[in-house]
Amino acid sequence: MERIAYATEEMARLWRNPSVRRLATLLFAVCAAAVLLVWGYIGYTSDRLRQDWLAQQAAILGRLAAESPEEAPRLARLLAHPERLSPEELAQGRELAAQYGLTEELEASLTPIVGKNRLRNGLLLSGGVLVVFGILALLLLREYRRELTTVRKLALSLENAVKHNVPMKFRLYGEGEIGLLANQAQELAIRLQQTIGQLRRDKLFLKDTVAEISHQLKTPLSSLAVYTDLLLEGAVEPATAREFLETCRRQLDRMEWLIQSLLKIARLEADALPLQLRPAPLGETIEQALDAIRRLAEERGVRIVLDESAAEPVSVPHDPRWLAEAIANLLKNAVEHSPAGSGSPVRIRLERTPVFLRLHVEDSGPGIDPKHLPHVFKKFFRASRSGSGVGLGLPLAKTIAERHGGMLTASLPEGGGTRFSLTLPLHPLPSPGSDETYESVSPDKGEL
Amino acid sequence: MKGYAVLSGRYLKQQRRRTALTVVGIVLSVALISALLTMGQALKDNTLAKEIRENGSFHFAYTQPDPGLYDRLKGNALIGKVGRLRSGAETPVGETYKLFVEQADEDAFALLPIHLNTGRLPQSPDEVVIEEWIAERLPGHPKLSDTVTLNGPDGRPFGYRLVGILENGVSTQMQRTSRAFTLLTEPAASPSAGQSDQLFAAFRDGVDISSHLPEFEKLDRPFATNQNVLALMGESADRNLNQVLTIIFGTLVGLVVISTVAVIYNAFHISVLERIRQFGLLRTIGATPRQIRHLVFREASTLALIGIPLGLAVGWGGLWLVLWLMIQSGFQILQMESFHLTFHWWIMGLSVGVGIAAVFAAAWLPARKAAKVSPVEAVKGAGSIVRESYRRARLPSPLRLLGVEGRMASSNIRRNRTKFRITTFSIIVSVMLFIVFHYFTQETFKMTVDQTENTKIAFELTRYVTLTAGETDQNGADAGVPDIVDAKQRERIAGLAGVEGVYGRYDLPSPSAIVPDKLLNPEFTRVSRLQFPQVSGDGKAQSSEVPVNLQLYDDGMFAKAARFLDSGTVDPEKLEAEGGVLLIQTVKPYNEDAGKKEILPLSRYKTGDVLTLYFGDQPGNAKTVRQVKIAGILSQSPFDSAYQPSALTVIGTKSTVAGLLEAAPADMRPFGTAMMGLSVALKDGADSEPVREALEKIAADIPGGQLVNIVDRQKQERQFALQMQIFVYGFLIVIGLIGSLNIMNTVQTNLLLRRREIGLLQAVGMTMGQIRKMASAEGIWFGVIGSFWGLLLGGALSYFLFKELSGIQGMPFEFPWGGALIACVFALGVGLLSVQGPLRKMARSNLIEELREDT
Amino acid sequence: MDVIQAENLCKVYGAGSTQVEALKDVSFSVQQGEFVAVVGASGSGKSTLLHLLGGLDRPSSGKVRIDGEDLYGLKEKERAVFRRRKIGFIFQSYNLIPVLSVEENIQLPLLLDHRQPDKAYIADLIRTLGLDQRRAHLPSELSGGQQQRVAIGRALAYRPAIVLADEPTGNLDSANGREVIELLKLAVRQFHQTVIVISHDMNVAAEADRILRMQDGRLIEDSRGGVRA
Repeated sequence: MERIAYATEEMARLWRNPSVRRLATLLFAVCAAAVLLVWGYIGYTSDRLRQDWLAQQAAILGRLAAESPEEAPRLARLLAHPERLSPEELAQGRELAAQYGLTEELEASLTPIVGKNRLRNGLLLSGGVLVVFGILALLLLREYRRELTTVRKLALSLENAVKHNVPMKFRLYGEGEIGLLANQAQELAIRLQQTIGQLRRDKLFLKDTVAEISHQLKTPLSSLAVYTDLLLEGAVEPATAREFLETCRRQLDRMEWLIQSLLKIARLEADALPLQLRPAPLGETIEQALDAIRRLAEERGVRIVLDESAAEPVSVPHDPRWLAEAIANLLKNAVEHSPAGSGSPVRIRLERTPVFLRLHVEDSGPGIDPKHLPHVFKKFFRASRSGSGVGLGLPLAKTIAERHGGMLTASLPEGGGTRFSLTLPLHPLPSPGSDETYESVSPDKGEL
Repeated sequence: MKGYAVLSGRYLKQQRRRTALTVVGIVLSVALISALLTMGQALKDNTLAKEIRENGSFHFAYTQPDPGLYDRLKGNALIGKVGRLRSGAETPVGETYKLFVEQADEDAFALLPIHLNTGRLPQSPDEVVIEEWIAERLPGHPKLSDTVTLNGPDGRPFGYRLVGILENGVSTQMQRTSRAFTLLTEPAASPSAGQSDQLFAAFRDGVDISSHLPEFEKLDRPFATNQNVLALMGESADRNLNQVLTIIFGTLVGLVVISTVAVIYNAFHISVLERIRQFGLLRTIGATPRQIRHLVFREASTLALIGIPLGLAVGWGGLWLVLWLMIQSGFQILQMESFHLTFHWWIMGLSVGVGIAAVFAAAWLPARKAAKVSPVEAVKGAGSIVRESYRRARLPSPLRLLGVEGRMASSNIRRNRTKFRITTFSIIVSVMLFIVFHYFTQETFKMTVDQTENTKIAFELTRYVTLTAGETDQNGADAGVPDIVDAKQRERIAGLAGVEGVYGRYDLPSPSAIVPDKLLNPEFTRVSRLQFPQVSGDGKAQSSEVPVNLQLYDDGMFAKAARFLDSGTVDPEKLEAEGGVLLIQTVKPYNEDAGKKEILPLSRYKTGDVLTLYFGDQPGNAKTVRQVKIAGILSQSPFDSAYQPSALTVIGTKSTVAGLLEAAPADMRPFGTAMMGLSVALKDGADSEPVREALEKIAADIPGGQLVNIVDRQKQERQFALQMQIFVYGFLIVIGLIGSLNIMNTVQTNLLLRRREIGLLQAVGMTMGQIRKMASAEGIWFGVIGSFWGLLLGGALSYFLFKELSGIQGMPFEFPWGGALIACVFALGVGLLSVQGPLRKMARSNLIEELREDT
Repeated sequence: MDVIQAENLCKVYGAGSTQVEALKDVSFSVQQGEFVAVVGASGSGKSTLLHLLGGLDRPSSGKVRIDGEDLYGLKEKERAVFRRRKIGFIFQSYNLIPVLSVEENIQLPLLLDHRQPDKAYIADLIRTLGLDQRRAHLPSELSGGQQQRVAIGRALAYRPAIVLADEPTGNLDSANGREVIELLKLAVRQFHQTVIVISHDMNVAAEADRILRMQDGRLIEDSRGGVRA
């Protein structure tokens, strides 16, 4: 049963090729023509045979009629009704005929009727077969040439596309095997272009990152240089020296934080850090983030409230360490922009749809200025000076969200304040295939 | 899912109802085609077999051949069998019967219609076979192996051994002359003086008979062919019959095919229209036009795969069932002893081929249409609005008279010309099919079935009367001739169980009529090439002398004539009172030119005219001339032959005829108005045995009386008529079904497609009743237009068929009013009814659901 | 890299007094990976533009190039195959095949191309779309939001280079609508696709990287950057 199904599938696949269809029509037409011709010929040749045979018998009758008139009608009757002859008569007749050399060994050339027939048949049929096959061969050749020319064109076009990194000039859109090959070749060429483009972008990105890092480091570095120089000079009092050293320490911290964040973002954006996405309870991750921010919140006197929706146990595929960091960044931002006092807490709210899980961090602070909204996730962007950090927290959180197959958006809700929405798919989109081109340095640690 | 082609199966499943209807349509059509062809072929086969049985299987014969011809024929390569028949001397049996012993050789026994009842054929010149009925009358009532003394070929008595009993022939009984057969062994070359053997010859199998007949015709005269058998084989010199039959059956099958194609085309077209958005959607996803066509054709294939084998089974099985039922109820199929329903591969193949071709032809256009759908059309939304072109002036539709509903109906129809045309097309085809089939079957029925009362007559009491010269009574009739049975006995016979009627037979002279030339039909003269002798009756107008067949009917017979009354009255009392007669002026002469018989009127008399009759050959002699008033005109004779070849028929009551006979010379009317014979008609299904016994007794009492037993024949005739009717009406019912199916399918889907529109109308404020009125108006309009065109085309096609049928037998063309009326009423009715169903469904459904766009 | 190039597109319907110029000389190009919104009032020509970009209708004049291929230089059959492999459509009225289940509807483009669908991939896709419980159901048994997600699945099954969406949120409530748009954005990012969305809903437009504004058949504004982050 499966064999039949398989066989029919094979047939169907073959039939989808236009060349196969053309070939089939061709063969069918030639076959039909050949059969018709053969039929016609057979009719013609048997007619001739009959005529020749009748002529011979008539001649015999004529001679017999002249010599022994009473025998002639009998012979005629026998010729007219050969079914009346019996096998014994046949045997007898053969004996008699043998005496005259009329046996089966008699050469065909000596029996004029048969000889002529054989010659005629032989010549015409062989000739006919030759002609038919000749035509068939020509047509088949033409078909093959057509197919092969297409293949050749495709090959040349692909070669050109690869060499010069341009789209293919000759393209084919069709069903059948050649169409499939052409499609894959065309996709290959496009993919190639895209990959090269991507590589260029990656190079550019790297350049930009390096430039950013060096730019951001320039200030603290020069600051450090100045203070170190001053201390080296020695013309500094111990108290001031201590101050200087503390400043240097601060700058160093800042540089460390900067480099770490930048590298983190860079690695994430360049897809160099594969996240371990495992279904895990989100509640724990939120707890982790809360732990990180508790001290800051207490210092600032801002309350963080977990909505009852967040209390529900929910599981979503994510990397808890990274996601906790992202949530922590959001909370930090919210806390830093919230007024003190328990009257306006920072809320964490969960929203669930059939496809997504949304985690909302809402503060009731002044809210982001709408004209700053599009830029809030840009690196080093700081809407106000009221936050610590270098303006990398939100971009990092966004990148982490995107690596989770989700997204991070900021909006201004009706009641005022700011809302950050972290959207995660309950089941990540299937990956289009291995996109990893880099070896990860260390999959588990987020360090250099 | 294995491939996208699964879609076609799913679509079919979704539209279960429409799929089922379409499959039923295919099944019915294929069944009809195969049944028609099988029936036709079987009829032909069996008729041929019957004809061969009655006339023999020889192809041609020489009645007075030259002596050497036998040898020449025997030795001819083309000839298979040659039989010799030598006639013999007469042997009288009893006073009234004769017997001839004929000699036939082996081949002759094979070629001639000689059928054994029991025993075997003679194998030596001492043995003989004789007919059953004469065996009973021979002295000694011989049985098998007895010796029978009959006059041999030389005229002298010879004791033959009886080795076989032959079946009874009808004509031999009627003519009271029987034939017995013995073996002919003398060689052909030496016939006795004055005798020549008749030669019967048959060609070998495979010989083209018609092309070789002429050369054999030249060999010797007189030459005769086995006309009927050859004609049925299609080999007669006159190829007319076969050609005509092919054309007729071809037309009928063609019509059924067209109807099938129409049914399937409709179903497909509408199904495609319904899903046009889906097909457009498939195109947006990237299906090529070819793939869409493939889907539609796959649907068609599935339907064909289910429908065609089922159709074959139903057609074949249905026929078998009907025939089996008939045999069970004691019928003989169409007068044939053994009716074989042969399974012809070519019929099955043809039905399958036609079915497949029809399905695919029907699916082709819709497939193309589906493939051509522009993807945008599908995506844009439910249907595009067709703008009316204001260029052409339009005839206002009468629908507008029906108020706002009518106006809407008329606009709807106008807007959607294509759908309108599809719907009406199917109605037209259905109506046409019905009319043509009805016409054809009625005409064939008339042609092949004897519609006179003769089919009921099972027994004839006759007698052989010798005239004694002299005694005449005041009527001039021979006083010594009483009625064959007196009135009391006649009553008794009429009262027997199973007897339907008793009719008297009279032996009347034939007068002539003086018919003014202006009342003669010139067509008749042209067709028959008969020139009636001119007569100057009144001295004024030119008149012709036309032979007249005079008939005497008693009361019961007039009642039977009522069926055929064209004008006037058949009431015997009125006829008595006025001294009037009934006239039959439609005749059936043989048309030499066309080689067939034709039915046409001989004269153009009207009721109330006066007819001048005279007896003898002196039209001028006032004593022999009588005038009668024509009180009624019949279209054909209710008894005996329906039509005379070239004579008028005048029917009168006893007294009227008696009055007429006075004008005849005495020697012309020896029996006067005495009843010479009695025909006894049996009711259908009556037991004939008791009647036969009773009549035998009566016949024994009548001097010179004899009972002719034609019960079997009569039964066959009646059954033939009945069976023809069953088949005819069966076919008509199936055709009616197909037609109704077609109409129903189309009209309903038409409505269902406009669900949204109707929902809109409801939202605007139209009540369901108004909508129903509108839809009904549309339905009626479809019916009217469809009926109109169907009538026209049906009539035209019927006329075409009439032309073909006239090739077999000439007849007047009667427009099939009956069939047309039924068809039209039916079409209107079905159209109207099929509108109600979907409307009711729509009334129940939610308005908002309807308004939303369908996916 | 230019995935879509529209050059001087014009579309005229009807003739004579009832002529309508749906598009007048529209030109623009779209890079790979962009999420473009086309906005405008009814009758501004947005849908016509989308249909032309997808090869559904013929322009009266002008060219459409996708991945460098002149769409209307191809034959009808070639265009169908091109559409099958390279363009995914999402409509306002979902336009699912009613006789096929969810899974079958999603697989349809692959089957039309006579390919065997990657079962694992399709299963993954269905789970992501949140339709795992309904994979064997018919469209008539689904809600509007679910049906549109099936449509998205179908548009993503072959991972076409371009996804064209005509008012995808038009028949949905705001929650479902938001979900649809977010799914599209994710898909763009994940599969490196390009999406063009027509909408009159400004929230949708706000999600886009780029907004093309149409009016009376002309392209009157081509702005970058969303209002929202």
